[in-house]
Amino acid sequence: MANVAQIMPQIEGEEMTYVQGLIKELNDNQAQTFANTYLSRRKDPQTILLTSLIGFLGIAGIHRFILSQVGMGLLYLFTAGLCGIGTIIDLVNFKKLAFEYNQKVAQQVSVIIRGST
Amino acid sequence: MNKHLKHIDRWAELIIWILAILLLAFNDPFSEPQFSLCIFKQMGFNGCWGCGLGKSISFLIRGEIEKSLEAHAFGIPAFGILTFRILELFIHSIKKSTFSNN
Repeated sequence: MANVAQIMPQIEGEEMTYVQGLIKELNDNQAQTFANTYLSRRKDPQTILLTSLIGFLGIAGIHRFILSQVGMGLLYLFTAGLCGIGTIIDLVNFKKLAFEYNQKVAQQVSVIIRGST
Repeated sequence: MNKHLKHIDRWAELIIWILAILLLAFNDPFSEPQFSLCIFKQMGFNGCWGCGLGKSISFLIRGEIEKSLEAHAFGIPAFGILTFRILELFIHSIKKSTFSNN
């Protein structure tokens, strides 16, 4: 049975639980393909944290652009991160922001893997 | 009860934006002075280009387009973008609750 801890050791917490649920029925080959694809497309929570911090320097919203949230990114950019309040909220919330994005990626990759084998 | 509290961070962003819009809807933008939540202003930096946004949205909700633009040029798209984000988060959280793999 495919194991996240073995093939995607950098994934932890909620994300780990979620991905484990998606890959447990895959064989080793499929799981490895999943890992390769997913890891190359997922966004690391730490990246989101660091880019949201730049908001305190005046250039806010970069983390939102990384998560393909162009509207929110522009909003933050033009409003200095909603006067810093948005930046603070996202600092507290960064893991959930990354997880929301990564869940979609995981689902897409899962569909691709199951569809092609 | 604790089981639900543990998952409340899933709803946190949604709740915050809804609260923000509600506050701006029931806040009176005509009365001065408005206290500022802006962290840059509080630190003494008066040039923050985000300030005035709250008032701007507040005016917009009351139909005062001119005053809204006066308070902040980006107020109208800001309101649209926030509304869109609220809907996005709401639909996302409804969808999630219908799957067992949370």
